[in-house]
Amino acid sequence: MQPPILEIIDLHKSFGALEVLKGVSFAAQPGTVVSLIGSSGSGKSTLLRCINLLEQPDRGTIVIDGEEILTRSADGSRPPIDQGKLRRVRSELGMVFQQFNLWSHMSVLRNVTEAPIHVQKRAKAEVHAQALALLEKVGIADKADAYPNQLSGGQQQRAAIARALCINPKVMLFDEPTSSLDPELEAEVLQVIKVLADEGRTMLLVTHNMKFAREVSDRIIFLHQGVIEEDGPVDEIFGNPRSPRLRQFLAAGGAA
Amino acid sequence: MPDWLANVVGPDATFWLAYLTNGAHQAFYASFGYTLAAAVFGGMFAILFGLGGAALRRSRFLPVRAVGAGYALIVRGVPDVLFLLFFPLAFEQAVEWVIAQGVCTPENAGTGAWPPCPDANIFFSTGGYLAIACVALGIVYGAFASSAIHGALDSVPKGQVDAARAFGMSERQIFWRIRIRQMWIFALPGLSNVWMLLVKATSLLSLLNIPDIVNWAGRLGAPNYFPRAGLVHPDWRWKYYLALVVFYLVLTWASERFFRWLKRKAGHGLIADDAVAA
Ligand SMILES: Nc1ncnc2c1ncn2[C@@H]1O[C@H](COP(=O)(O)OP(=O)(O)OP(=O)(O)O)[C@@H](O)[C@H]1O
Ligand SMILES: [Mg+2]
Repeated sequence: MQPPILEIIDLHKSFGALEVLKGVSFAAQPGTVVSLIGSSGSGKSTLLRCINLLEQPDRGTIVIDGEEILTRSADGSRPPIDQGKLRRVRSELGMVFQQFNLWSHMSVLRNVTEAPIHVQKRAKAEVHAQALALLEKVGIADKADAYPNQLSGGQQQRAAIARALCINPKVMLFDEPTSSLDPELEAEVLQVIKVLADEGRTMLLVTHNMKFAREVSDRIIFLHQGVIEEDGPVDEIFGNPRSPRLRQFLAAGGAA
Repeated sequence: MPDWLANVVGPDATFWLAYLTNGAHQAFYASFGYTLAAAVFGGMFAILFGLGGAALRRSRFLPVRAVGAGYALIVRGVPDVLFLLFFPLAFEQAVEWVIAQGVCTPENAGTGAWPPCPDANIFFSTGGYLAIACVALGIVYGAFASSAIHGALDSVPKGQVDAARAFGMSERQIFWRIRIRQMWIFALPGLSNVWMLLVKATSLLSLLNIPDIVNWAGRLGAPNYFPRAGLVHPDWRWKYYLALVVFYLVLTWASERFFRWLKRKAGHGLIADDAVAA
């Protein structure tokens, strides 16, 4: 087996007295799609935000493509990681948010080219060519010069996916990418994610859409109250769930 | 005035036209330029100081933050009249002190207490005083602008800041590339208020011996009993001051229109103006 491209070891995170992640560990092989499911408040978003260090984990280790990012240790003996390394790590992870979070003062094209040019310092011409190709790929090439508020939610999310792809990330992180979309718009975004999965991109996907998780994932992780309750291949999780909590969760249709 | 025009408008109008275009009145009209220049350049300095002050208040370092907060707090509390009197004098004497360090020796020392020697004495032209006044207005109203800008910088949706962080932008890049760019639309209502206050404060230029509109209105309106010096008239200052009142009302009205236009434009305009360099 190849070494994992993303490995999380014993990750802990609390907000004040509220312990949200209580020691989460898993690894993702390159080219696989891992879906994170779990009820609301189980800590899925927090886990994703800890992976690209939007939240500072209290304890634990993150390994991206062999590079260890040691987060602060419990006794504070390890300092927080330095800014340069932080930015480099982040530009290896392509994040897609539930609320799209496109920069509203920039055109779609500039949203896509911003980080490659100004963070990764890549050549403008090359980035533009790639950005246009990506917009073509997600089906909004004609919207390159439009501003986010001129697009539908589905188009905005596809632009956000192009933005994440353009940094050539090692892993794509999706946090409920379709939860704020109407069903017909959801379909067009899922279609794009499906294409990426088929291309063999490594993706970590938080979703409440069980049907889609089943269709697109190689593996499912069920998070419950800050711990991984069950972790396994798609067929096993959906066909033969062991934990009663997972059974209950699936019976409720993956909601709440 | 050409004869043909005089014939058309009649003797009364000819008389008034001549009076209202005599040398003193032309100087009066020109002095509106001082007022407008003070407003425009004072406004620009206010934006610069406002941005600077807001940037200081967001610094990671407590002492720097304290300077920014102190600037906003202290300067906002000082009456603009007082500051306009204080700042140019303090500036002038500071410059003279610096020069004196270089050129004054016990041999060439002057008799007066200040400046230490005649060589260190400097005179600002009207233009010089006007420039100092613009800076002074900028400092005072920059303190107000910094509050408007400071608040507006936080109006950028948190998700967009998260996205910027997630894509590896540094805090500095987030400030200059995201926050500042989106700040204007939110800061506009506050900044338009500051502009109105600043426009009104331009009526204080005469305090600095700048021959501005207030100064000229007072001179032209003063009772005049010498036929040699033009029209003989009693105290007409109220007429001239009334003209200034109308001028400021027009300026206020124009500013209101301008800011309404700006707001409409910044809504999608902040966006549209910033078009892509393809
Ligand atoms: N910044 C924060 N400060 C305090 N509490 C937080 C913060 N972010 C999340 N939490 C809390 O952490 C818990 C887990 O939140 P999280 O957003 O990770 O859940 P989730 O699994 O993504 O839920 P959902 O499916 O509703 O998105 C919740 O109880 C939430 O209120
Ligand atoms: Mg969530």
